[in-house]
Amino acid sequence: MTAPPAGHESWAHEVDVSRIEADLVKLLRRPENLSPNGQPGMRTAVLTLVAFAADRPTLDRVEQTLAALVDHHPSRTIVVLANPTAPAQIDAWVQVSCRPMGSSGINACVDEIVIEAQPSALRRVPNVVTPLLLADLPVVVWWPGEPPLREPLLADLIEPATRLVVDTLGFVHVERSLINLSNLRHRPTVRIDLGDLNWDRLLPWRELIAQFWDVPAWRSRLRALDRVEIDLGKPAGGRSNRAQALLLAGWLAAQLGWRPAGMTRLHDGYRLRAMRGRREITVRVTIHMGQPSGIRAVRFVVESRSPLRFGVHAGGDAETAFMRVEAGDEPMYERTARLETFDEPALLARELDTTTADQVFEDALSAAAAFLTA
Amino acid sequence: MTEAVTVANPLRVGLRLERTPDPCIFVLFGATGDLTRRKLIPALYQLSHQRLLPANFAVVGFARRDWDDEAFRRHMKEAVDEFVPNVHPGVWESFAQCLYFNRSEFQDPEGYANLAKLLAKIDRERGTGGNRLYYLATSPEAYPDIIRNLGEANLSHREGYGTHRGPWTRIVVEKPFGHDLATAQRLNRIISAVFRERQVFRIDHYLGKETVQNILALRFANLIFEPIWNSQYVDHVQITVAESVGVEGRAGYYEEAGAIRDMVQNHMLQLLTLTAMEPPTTFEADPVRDEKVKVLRSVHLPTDKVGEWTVRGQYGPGWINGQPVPAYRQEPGVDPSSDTGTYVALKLLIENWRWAGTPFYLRTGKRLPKRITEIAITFKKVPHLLFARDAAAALEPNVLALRIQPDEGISLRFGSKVPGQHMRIRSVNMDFLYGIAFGTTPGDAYERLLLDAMLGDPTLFTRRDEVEQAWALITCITEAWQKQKPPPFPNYSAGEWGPEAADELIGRDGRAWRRL
Repeated sequence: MTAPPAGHESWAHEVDVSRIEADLVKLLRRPENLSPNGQPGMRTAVLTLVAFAADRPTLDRVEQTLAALVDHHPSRTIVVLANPTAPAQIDAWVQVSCRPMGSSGINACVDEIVIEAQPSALRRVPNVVTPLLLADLPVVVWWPGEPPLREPLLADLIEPATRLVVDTLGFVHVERSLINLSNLRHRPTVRIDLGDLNWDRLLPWRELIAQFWDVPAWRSRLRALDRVEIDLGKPAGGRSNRAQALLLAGWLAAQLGWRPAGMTRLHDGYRLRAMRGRREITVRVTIHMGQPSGIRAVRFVVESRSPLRFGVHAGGDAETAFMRVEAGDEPMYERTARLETFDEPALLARELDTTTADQVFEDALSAAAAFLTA
Repeated sequence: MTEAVTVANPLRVGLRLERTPDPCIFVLFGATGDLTRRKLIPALYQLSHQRLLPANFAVVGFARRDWDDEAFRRHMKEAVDEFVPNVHPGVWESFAQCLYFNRSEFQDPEGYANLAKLLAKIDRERGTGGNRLYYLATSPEAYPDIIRNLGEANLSHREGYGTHRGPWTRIVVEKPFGHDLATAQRLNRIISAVFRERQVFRIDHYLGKETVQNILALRFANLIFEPIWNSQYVDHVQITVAESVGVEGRAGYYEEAGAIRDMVQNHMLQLLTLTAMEPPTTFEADPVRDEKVKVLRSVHLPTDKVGEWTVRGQYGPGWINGQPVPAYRQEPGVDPSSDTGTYVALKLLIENWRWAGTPFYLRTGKRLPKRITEIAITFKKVPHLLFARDAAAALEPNVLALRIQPDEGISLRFGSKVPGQHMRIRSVNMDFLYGIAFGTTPGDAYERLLLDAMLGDPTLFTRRDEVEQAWALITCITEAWQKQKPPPFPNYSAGEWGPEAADELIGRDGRAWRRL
């Protein structure tokens, strides 16, 4: 047995599934994990979450996120840590987290199993993970960072899973990886739903944009749309989140029946072309330096006959948006709305709440990939 | 736009609401009252905060107080600051701009003429499309005047409604809906002279609770429960709505209503119908409500059994959470010789094939030891116990308990062997807590109900025949009580689980109330 990492009250041992389960029971019986009535903490599991951490900092981040999720999605979590300096080829340790719930103070507990593997042993990890999955419950694979979408390790890990959750904000090779992610979905051997935390960050924008189409008088004008302008922020020393802009464009195309017709890379963004019948619509993505990362504004421009502009603009703080409809320079409608920013636990919780395919996301992803390959 | 003509918005697919409410004006009668402050404006603000209100939306407060638009906005800001955590200043400012005030007495026709002009002006300026949601948050005495004046001012659109030619108009009526069967029927007649039934939404905020809706999910999304959900397997059902609070400054209302009208006629009978109903054909308003009405029609309490099958109580002084509290008769605004019951226990039978012979025991009261609402389905004992008597001495019948509040969830009690050399069986509880499995804080019931009213979905509102059937039962009980001498009050101390007579009520049948 190797010593457990500092801060973990657990045992590290060779990967022996029955010992892992036995040790989890022992941990649940520890005095600090008992409920006030003396009973072991209650294990209420709704899924198994398999998370991949490519390094220690990612492991720390994953564990912080999981700790915040105890109240929301009690589950078994299996964290796979790739560690070139691990003392053994594959090793594992376990821990439980318990929190009192409700007025009765019953302890609700979740368990976490960390599987540490040297890079050369990573291919064996799926075989170790499989018997640790909770029977009959969904399996969600969460891969922070850029997953190896074309490699066997990912394919093996997602084989028993119902959902793969990524964060396209973390994609380094944005365009290539978006295309590969879209292609993953269409592989005949892959039967998995896709989720993206970066897509979930778009939810407030999508709701505010959808409200323009709710109003019948506006909807009839929006059918004559000529141009969409997406402003993207890029902070000093930071990244611009191009994936988010491409997904937003993909969403509009997929839902409004546009056919992606091409993309031009510009020094400050993209120009995407789409066709609706014989009508061309331009989506101009402009990156603005020195602004917070992510979408900063979306404008819909109708130029024919009496021009109209429908816009949603992020405010100075992170939580405000302004909606405006303008005819020429005259505002016809103005409203302040809330624009949440979600932290990683909230985004992941949303994905864990989703039990079916997010077809809207998958269609948006396909359309974004189509812009990139048209 | 009428509710029947809904053009799909392709961008709404996959969002929280696949159909948002149409642009509309929310006309709030009783805009200066307590319900508006505590619940309605906070709920509307929260809907705005969550981006669930339509883009073009306005609220018109209608009350007699000498306020204008600015005063209304100022007072509502105070309400939101008090009852909503983390108010967003920008969102509030935007929401406040859509608040207007129409000062008038409820019986003044000129006030309604002014209202009509204001509504037309808001339609022009804010694009609210002529859709109206009237909300009666006043004392019930004002309902007839308001409804009649809405009709006389041509503000109900009764004739155009449902013909797809005009905007929609709806009216939400708060409880209490009448005081007894006759007054409920009278109110229904007054309403139906001005509004079609499809336009009427009678609110019972219990139906907006996630955990109440979960009763239907539990029963009809799982196959395993339905085969045993009947008199063949169920020994009895207990429904408890316990409050630890007193009248909380509502003596004027409570003295007239008492526990039976405040809780049993509406909330408890809703819980009973959801527990006892047959599966509807679809989860839509009328099929669900049809089944609920069928239960109410089958509920049986013989008039000559009212004395034996009902218990009334009134709390005396006592202790709650270690603090002394006064008797009901010592509460501010309460008649020192009041005979109003603050506690009711009932035994009811449901005379249909599913439930014949299985009693339903209901109890509710104020100043009970704790706040809890629960439905407990107690199953029959096994027909033949294999194990030695002393081995199973601690074994109790299976109980499936649906906890509505607090610690919302479900608990199943079953027998399990105690580890060891000998066969000993004891009962254990298996718990599912909403807060653990899902973690999200359920929205306020009013948010759900207001949104449904704006969407025109009446599933979670009560129908005319449902209300009248419930009142028929309650009126039968109260009329029988009037012919009897009331019990000597007070007959339980604050902090106790009710009068001893309630224990006798259930004890006579060889059963006991659950210790909660």
